[in-house]
Amino acid sequence: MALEKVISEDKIEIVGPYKMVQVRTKTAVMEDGVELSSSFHRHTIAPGADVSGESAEVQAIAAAVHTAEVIAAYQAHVAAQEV
Amino acid sequence: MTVTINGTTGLATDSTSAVVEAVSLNHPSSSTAAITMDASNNVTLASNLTMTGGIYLGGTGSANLLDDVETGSWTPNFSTSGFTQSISSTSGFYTKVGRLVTVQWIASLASAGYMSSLSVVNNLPFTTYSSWSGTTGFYGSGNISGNGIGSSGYVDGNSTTLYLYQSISSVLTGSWRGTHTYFAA
Repeated sequence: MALEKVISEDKIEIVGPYKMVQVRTKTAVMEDGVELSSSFHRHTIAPGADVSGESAEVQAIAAAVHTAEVIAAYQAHVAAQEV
Repeated sequence: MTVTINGTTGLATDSTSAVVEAVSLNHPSSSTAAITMDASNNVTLASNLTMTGGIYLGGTGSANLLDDVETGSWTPNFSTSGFTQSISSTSGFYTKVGRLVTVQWIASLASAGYMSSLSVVNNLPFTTYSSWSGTTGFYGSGNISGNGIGSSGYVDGNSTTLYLYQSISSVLTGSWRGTHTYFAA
């Protein structure tokens, strides 16, 4: 009867024209391999954001989709919105 | 009529009529019905239903499909803070039903303060819908006795940013909380 807390990035999504990266982190409590409970925490990564604290997988995805063109387009979009 | 399957009574009707008017399925180790369907086609489950797909409600069109429900937490990231005092911590929760996302957030201040100018909150849990932007929700004092009156928020399309208009009261309080609803992409 061993209890274990398992944390994993169980869903990584790329959304919209600016390639927002949505990361869902799942925390599960397991007993002998059977999930007793779980919860989610989400964070998002906009183009140009600091990804140094992200997992290697998320860093690789962000590097692939957040090209210079996407970052520039997103920054222009944000600048147009802010007052 | 009772149907016996593998020696266990698991499927039954409530009538001796040839027409099945109601059905119940019992858990193998319990006499309690796990699934029942009555004569009016009402189906009742005694426990949870797990589906990998969605469920159509009120019709069979794509507009009737509900295929995503999720709750969780998120961490508001104030890239620009209009609060007169520094923020000591933030936290938040979300609920997503279909495309509709509702977020709650808390910003605790290092000491009492108010929002004297615009704040920019990044890291919304879901990207906003592309074709809509506008005012959403409201924030205010975390303490009803603090009388701190906040203001509304604003989201733009294709974004994970929430803008908070400056508060309309300078009555001091130690924390501010908001609830905002928007459509996800």
